[in-house]
Amino acid sequence: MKEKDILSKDLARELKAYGVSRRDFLKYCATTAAVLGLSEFEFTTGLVHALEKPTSNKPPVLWLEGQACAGCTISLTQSLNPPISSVILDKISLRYHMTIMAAAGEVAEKVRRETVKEGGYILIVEGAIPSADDRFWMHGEISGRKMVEEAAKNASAILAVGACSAYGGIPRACPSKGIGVSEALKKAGINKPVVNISTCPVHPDHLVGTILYVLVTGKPPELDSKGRPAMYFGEVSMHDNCRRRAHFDAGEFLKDWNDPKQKNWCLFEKGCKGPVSYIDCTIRRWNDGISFCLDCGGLCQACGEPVFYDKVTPLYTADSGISKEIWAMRKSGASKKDT
Amino acid sequence: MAKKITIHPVTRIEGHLTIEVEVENGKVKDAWSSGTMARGFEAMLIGKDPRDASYVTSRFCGV
Repeated sequence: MKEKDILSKDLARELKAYGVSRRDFLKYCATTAAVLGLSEFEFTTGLVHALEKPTSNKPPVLWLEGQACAGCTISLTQSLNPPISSVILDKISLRYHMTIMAAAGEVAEKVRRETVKEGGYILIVEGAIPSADDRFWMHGEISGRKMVEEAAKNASAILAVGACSAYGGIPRACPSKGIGVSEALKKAGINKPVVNISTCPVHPDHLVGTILYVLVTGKPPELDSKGRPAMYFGEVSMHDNCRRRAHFDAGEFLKDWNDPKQKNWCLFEKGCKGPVSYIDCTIRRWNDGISFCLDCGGLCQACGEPVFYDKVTPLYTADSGISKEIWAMRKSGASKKDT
Repeated sequence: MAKKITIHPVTRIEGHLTIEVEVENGKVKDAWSSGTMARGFEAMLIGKDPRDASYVTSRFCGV
């Protein structure tokens, strides 16, 4: 591949201002392309093309926040390191984001209405949509549900970010009976594909990777059976790569945190739901690859699965319906079960 | 004659906030704030295992 020809001098200079060298950029492109299942050439040329577009031509992004905690927004800002992701986020035109935009009130609302009118934007929804009563989430004069439905009609791609907007998450167990975006759109008769980037909160790599995929190829990535990007979800369970796995097979379950002998035993009895959790945390890890739940003595609560949270509670005992299913799986010798 | 100003949404905060202000002769006469989204975490936690609360309530606000 002739890299010199792909990366123009102007863009190389611009990247340098962010502290990203030409070599860093091409290295990032190569590794990201591999994960996304695209050829390095296709990905790099596509990304350069997207980055070089003039300001007025930037792909617009609308970020709507429903029944959420803004944790996904915070998780995304974590991706500022490495700076390459921040370049990409600067390059997309984030037109509307309640937590981080400078404008407020009517000025902000005008931008949202105009973008929806124009169409062709990437719609990102964080948070569930209440199904019990619209008044659980009002946006000015209209209900949040209506705002999402209107925005979905003209969107070129719809990303449901985080467990809440993918499947309802914690709000589904609440009196507001939150539901995911795909379910809400189906209810409203809007037939559009939704990419569920679940986990609570969203993993910055998953989100930036999916945005890149849409920018470069112009279409949503391949999805697994639960509507999640197949490049990150659905293949390997947390259980498969768990360092305590051998103890699960040997029937050694931690019952007493104070007993040093049990310290490395399987956490099933303490409420771990790893065997039903098909997310790539064990490979990708969190906080810029430093650690993740299982590596710091925590349990997997299957936060990226549709069963989260109402079916995995109680979290810290093996009494939930899901824990009972896992136990039945172990008894029957089945290694995989669809949740 | 009092003039009513409504600011919605109030940005750069976590959550959904509307501020209404009533102004008379250049002075604020009255003001109201309203959170426009509710999930009902407190009601949901009734009857749950108490240890769930630390995990769930940390999702109340993620900022």
